[in-house]
Amino acid sequence: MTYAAEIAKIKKGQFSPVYLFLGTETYFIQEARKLLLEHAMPEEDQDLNVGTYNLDEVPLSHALEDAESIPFFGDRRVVIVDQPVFLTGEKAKAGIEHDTEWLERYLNNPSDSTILVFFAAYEKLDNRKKISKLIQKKATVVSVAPLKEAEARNYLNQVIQNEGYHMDRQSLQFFFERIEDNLSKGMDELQKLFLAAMTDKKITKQMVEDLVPRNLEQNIFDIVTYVLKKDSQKAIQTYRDLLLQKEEPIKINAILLGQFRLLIQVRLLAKKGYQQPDIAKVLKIHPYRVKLASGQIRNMDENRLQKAYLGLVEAEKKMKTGDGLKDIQFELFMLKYANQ
Amino acid sequence: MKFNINRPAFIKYITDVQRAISSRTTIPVLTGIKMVADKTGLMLSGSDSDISIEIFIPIEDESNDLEIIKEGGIVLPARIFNDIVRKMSDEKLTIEVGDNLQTHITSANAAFKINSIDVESYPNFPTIDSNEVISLPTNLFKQVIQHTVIATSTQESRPILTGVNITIENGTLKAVATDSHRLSQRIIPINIPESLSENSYKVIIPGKSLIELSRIVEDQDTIDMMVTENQVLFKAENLYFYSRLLEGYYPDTNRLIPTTSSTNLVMNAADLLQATDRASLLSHEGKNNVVKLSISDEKVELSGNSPEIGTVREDLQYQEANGDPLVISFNPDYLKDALRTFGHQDVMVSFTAPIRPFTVVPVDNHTDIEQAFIQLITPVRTY
Repeated sequence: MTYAAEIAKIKKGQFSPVYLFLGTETYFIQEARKLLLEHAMPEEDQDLNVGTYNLDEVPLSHALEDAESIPFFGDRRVVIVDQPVFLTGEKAKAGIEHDTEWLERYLNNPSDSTILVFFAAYEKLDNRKKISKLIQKKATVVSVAPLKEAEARNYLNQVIQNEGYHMDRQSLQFFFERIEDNLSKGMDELQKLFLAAMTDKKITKQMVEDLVPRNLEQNIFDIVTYVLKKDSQKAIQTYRDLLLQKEEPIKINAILLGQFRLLIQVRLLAKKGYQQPDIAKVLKIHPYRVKLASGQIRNMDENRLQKAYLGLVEAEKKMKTGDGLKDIQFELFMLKYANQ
Repeated sequence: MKFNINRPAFIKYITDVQRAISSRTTIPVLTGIKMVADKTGLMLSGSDSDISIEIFIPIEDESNDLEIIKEGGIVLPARIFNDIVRKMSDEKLTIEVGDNLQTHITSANAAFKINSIDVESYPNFPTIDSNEVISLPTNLFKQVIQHTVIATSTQESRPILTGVNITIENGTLKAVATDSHRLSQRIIPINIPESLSENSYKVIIPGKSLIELSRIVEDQDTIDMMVTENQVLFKAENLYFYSRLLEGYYPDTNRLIPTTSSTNLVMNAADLLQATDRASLLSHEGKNNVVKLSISDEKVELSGNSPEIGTVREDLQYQEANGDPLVISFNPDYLKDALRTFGHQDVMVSFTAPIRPFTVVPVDNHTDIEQAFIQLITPVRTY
C-alpha cells in the first residue's frame, strides 16, 4: 500500500488492526505517528489508551499484553512498537527476549479494539524469518522508504506551493543542494524559511544561505576549493567552524583525503580520454560528483593535486600517531601548502 | 566538626536518609550524606534530585546520647559510611572532621579515616513557604499510599502515570493512580484549617516518592504537607521529606468509573485472592498471563491454563452472585494487587460487560463518601 493512499484512509477514520511502517524516512514516520493518534482518538484519551514500546528497552510481550487489553475508555487502544529488531537479522539487546510466538497468535487473530503499529525503521526485513513473512502477509504494510531525488524535490515543491509561498528556480535549486534532497531535513528547514518569509511569502536564495546550515560534505567541498586556490584564511576558517560543530579532526581529514583522491582519479581518467559519464561508471559514483570534481580541477596541474594529497596523508599520520596536536595538523598543512 | 552519638540510634537515622541517595547520579556530591552539627543538634541530609530527606536529631532527645563537641559540617560517601557505622561494635560512635577533609570515625578500638567532600559543595534544598500547611492523619495517609501506588505505571514513556494524582478540596483528600490497565482510587476526609478551606490543591507525586515516604514515616498522629509549584514537603516531627512533582495534566479519571453494573459478585477478599493466586500458578507459566472468571446462575468458576502444563478450575465460595451470566478474562496479578488492599474484608466485584473494566469495592464502606475506595481493572479479550 502506498503511503499517501494509507494516510488518506487513516484521515477518514478507516484503520487496519495491524500496521507495519517499513522504511527509514523520518518525516513520513513522524507524520504517520501523529496522524494515527490524531484520528484514532481524542487527545484527552491518549494518555490512557496509547502505549509506546521501544523494543531496545522492553520485551515484545509488554506491547502484546497491552494490545490484548480492552480499551480503558473509548473505542480503541493504540499500541506503538518501535525498533522491532526481531524482524531483522540483527540481535536483540542483551537480556531482552521477544516472544514471537505470541505475536504469531496475535497476527492470526488481532484484537478488534486495538490498532497495533510497528515502526520498522529499517531498509529491509529478514525475510528468511517466519515472523517477518507472517507480519508482511497479515499487516497493512506501508512503505516509508526515503523518496528518490526527483520525488523528494516534487514533494517539497508541492509543500511550498500549498503553503502559499514562492521560490524562484535558482533559490529552489540552492535549497535542494543544501538539504541534499533529504525530505526530513527539507521539511524541518522549510519551517524556518516559512517564518522568515512570512510577510511577502517570497523565499530568497539569501534566506536559504542564512538559515539552512551546510552539512559536513558541503563544508568539505568548500575547504577543497579553498585549498586548491591556496586561500588558507578561508580554508582554516571553515575548518575551525567544523571543529566548533564537534566534528572530529581525523574524520574531517579522512573525508578531505577521499575528496582529493577522487580529484586525482578524475584528472587521470579525463587525461586518458574518458568522458564524465564513463568516469562515473568506472569509479562507481554519482555523475553529479564527477561533474563537481571536474569543475574544481579545471586548469589545475597534477603536481599541485599530488602535493595536497600527500600533505593530507602526512597530517593524518601525525594525528593518528599523536605527533603534535590533532586540531592544528590541518592548519599546519594548509599554511605549508599555500606557501609552496 | 566533632560529635558523639549512640550508634544503634544513628544507624536508623542514616538508613532513613539513605533512602533518598542513589549511587547512580550525574552529580557526584549527591552520592554522599550531608551532616551539619550545631548547638541545637545534628542535621542529616540526602538527595537524588527527585527525593530529598532531612532528619534532625535534637540535642535534647536523650535516647540518642548526642553530644556536639565542635560545630561544622561535612559530606561523607553514603554507602561506605553506612557500612562502616553498621560494622562497628560499640554503642558509642565518634565522628570528627580532621585536616584536608578527612573524617575520623571511631568506635571502641576501630578507627576509620575516610575522604570527604566539603559541605559547601552540596546543593541547597528547596525552601518551601510554610504558610499553607495541611495536616494529614499519618496512618490513614500511609494506607491511602499503599492502596493507590499499586496502580502507578512503571513505564517512563508515560511519565504522568508514574505518579499518584492527589486532590485536596472540600475537606477531602482524593488519591488516584492508574497505569491505563487498572485504577485505584481512595478518598479520605481531612481537617483543613479555616484559612485554607477555600483553597484546592492538585498535585501529582511520583509513586516512588510516596513508597519511600510510607516506609520512613513513624506512627505519629499527623504529617504536615506543604506544596509549591514543583515540590511537595512532608514534615513529621524531625523528618523533612521533599519530593519533586510531576508536571502536566492528569487524565480525567472520573469518567472511567462505571456507575452501573449488570453482574455483581460478593465474597471475601482474602478467599478470592487465594483462589486467584492458585489460578495464576499456571497462567504465569504460560505465554500470556490470563485467567478466566465465569459467572452463571448456578456457580462462579475461576480457571486458568497453560498449554505447556495444563489447566486449573475452581468453584468459588461466594456470598452472593446476581445479574447477567458473564465470562471475563483478566490479568490475575492486577486482581491480586487490588484484593491485597482490602485485607479480610468482604468485597463486591461489579461487571458491566466482558469488554468493559470491572470494579472491586468494599461491601462496608465505613464512610458517607461515594466511591471512597475503589479498584478498577481492565479485562483482556476472551478467546
